[in-house]
Amino acid sequence: MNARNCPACQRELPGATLRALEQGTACPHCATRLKRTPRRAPAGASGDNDYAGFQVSHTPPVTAQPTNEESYGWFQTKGAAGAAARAAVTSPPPPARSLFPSVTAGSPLRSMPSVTGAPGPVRAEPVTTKPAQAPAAVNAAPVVTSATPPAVDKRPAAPEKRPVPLALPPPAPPVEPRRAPTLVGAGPPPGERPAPVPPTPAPPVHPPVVRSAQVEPPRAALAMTAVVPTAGATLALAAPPMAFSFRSRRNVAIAAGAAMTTLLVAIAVFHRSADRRAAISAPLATLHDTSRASAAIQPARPTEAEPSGAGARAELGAEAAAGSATAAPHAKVRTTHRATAHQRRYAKNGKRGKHARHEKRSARQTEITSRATPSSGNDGEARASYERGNALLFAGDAAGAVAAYRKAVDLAPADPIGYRGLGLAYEQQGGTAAAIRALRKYLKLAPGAADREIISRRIARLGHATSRP
Amino acid sequence: MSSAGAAQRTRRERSYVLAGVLLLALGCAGRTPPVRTAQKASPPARLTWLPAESIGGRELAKAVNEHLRQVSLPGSATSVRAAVSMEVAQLAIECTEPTPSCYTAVGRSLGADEILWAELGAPGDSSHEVRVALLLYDVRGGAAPKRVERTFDSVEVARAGVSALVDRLKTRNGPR
Repeated sequence: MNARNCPACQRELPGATLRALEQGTACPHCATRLKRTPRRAPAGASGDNDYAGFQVSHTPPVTAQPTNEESYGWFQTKGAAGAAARAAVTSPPPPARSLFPSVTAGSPLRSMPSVTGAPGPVRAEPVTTKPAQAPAAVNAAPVVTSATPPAVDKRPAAPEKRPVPLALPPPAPPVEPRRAPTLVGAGPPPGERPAPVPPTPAPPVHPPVVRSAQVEPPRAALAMTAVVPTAGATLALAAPPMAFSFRSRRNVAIAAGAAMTTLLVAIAVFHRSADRRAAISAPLATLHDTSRASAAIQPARPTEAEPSGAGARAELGAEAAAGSATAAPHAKVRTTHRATAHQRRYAKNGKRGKHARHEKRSARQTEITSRATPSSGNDGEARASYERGNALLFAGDAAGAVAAYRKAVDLAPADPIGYRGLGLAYEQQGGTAAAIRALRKYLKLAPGAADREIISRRIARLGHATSRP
Repeated sequence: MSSAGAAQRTRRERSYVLAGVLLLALGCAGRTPPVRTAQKASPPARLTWLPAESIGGRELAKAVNEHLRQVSLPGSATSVRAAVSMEVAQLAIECTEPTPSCYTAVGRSLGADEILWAELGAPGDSSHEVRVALLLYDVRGGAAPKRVERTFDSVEVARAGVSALVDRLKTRNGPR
């Protein structure tokens, strides 16, 4: 591969492209991204392995930047300046393990007949110091070991070997001053020069660089620098993430606002619907809307003459049993508090719908409370029997109610509610004396009952009725 | 390319967000209102009247119960007599307070939509005066009961005036 040719399309690169290889450029023919990459020689290799070459941008990053001596010493040794430099070489001759296997230490360039007149030691003597007359300009020339055309074909192992770049001193001299002299004075084969490069009048003088394995450049930094894309591309790509962050925050704010708005709308709609429902189910509003009663409408319940039907009894019994299932000792306090709060709220709010709603809730809570109130006994079966007696009593079956209440008393003798039920059922049956006895027993067992006054009045009335002829 | 594309993308994203918000709002606000036709199609209310107890005299209680039996309210089915009085029902369900909650509990225990009952008593020290109150309560609505009340000079006057009291209750309840 020729160093002045594109590794992708193998066409010759113009001089401007070659000069821009340091910063990275692209092939004008095939647009392949190119970058001059110094390659590192394997450990122990001499300076003749140091050469630089093209590297397509997708190749692994360069880890070191070559100095003049490392990369382009080969050119320097070819001309007169190279001869002087060769004379000044103090380093030992390169080892036989060269980049080019065919080149031996004694005649390293035997396979390169086109190389100018100093054949043998050119590549065998690595340049560690740089002569003043052939300064750093080599850096600008992307020279590979195959810089000379004949050598390209006769060095088959060069591209595949990929020697590792040597350890280099970290600071690299400025590029521009070194570029021109190398191109002019280094004397690469004239056929490979696509365009003449104007010479630099005063090439800088660099101190002699001693190649040392102990000097470790910041390879990580160099590597990172090498893989960074071109400046334009980097800047072009840097803007969107910043803009995205800003947009993301704004979108989050918009979403939060939308969620709040939606929540408020939902709450408002829910309240409106609830009020509408309550207004529709307000007391007697439904009756106003319904049509007038007609004679064809049959009663939903048995008439007065038959209040104790079996169906009605079963219905009432089921309702009573369902209500009693929720009875619990601690439910009384909680539900009473809730009912009171609802009533307070109702007193504050005069709206009809809310009134109806609160009254409904209050009724439910009070019902639960009422069913749980006097049940000092915790016998579930006794309570169930009492509820069954209530259902039978409401259905007009006083005898059945008496039996149910008596069972409740048998199950929980200390529970007064059974006696109260018995008194009410006996009264329905017409057994005034038994009713009075049962109610008195109730008052004896529950002297602090809330309905004590009512029961006492009832006992008095029953006694008065009994004494009356 | 980046600025124009980003601006366009931003506008697109904003439009998406606004469209989502609009859809959410419409979804929440588009609830169908309750249908009133279902209310009109509901069966007639079950009216249950609870007999009065003979506190002020058996004759008066009997007269009041006769009038209560004949009460028929528009929109309600034929009235049904309960087996127990209001006081007995309240004692049985252990809810003796004169509140809508207790009335609701009584109505539900009786399986009624509306309950009608009478309260008889003596207003003061006078042994001749009789106070008669008729109350109608809507169990489903849960509002305060409709109440008409009048104090009569004697039981005989009360027996004669109960019908007028029932008419007042019907009038107050209004056409349905």
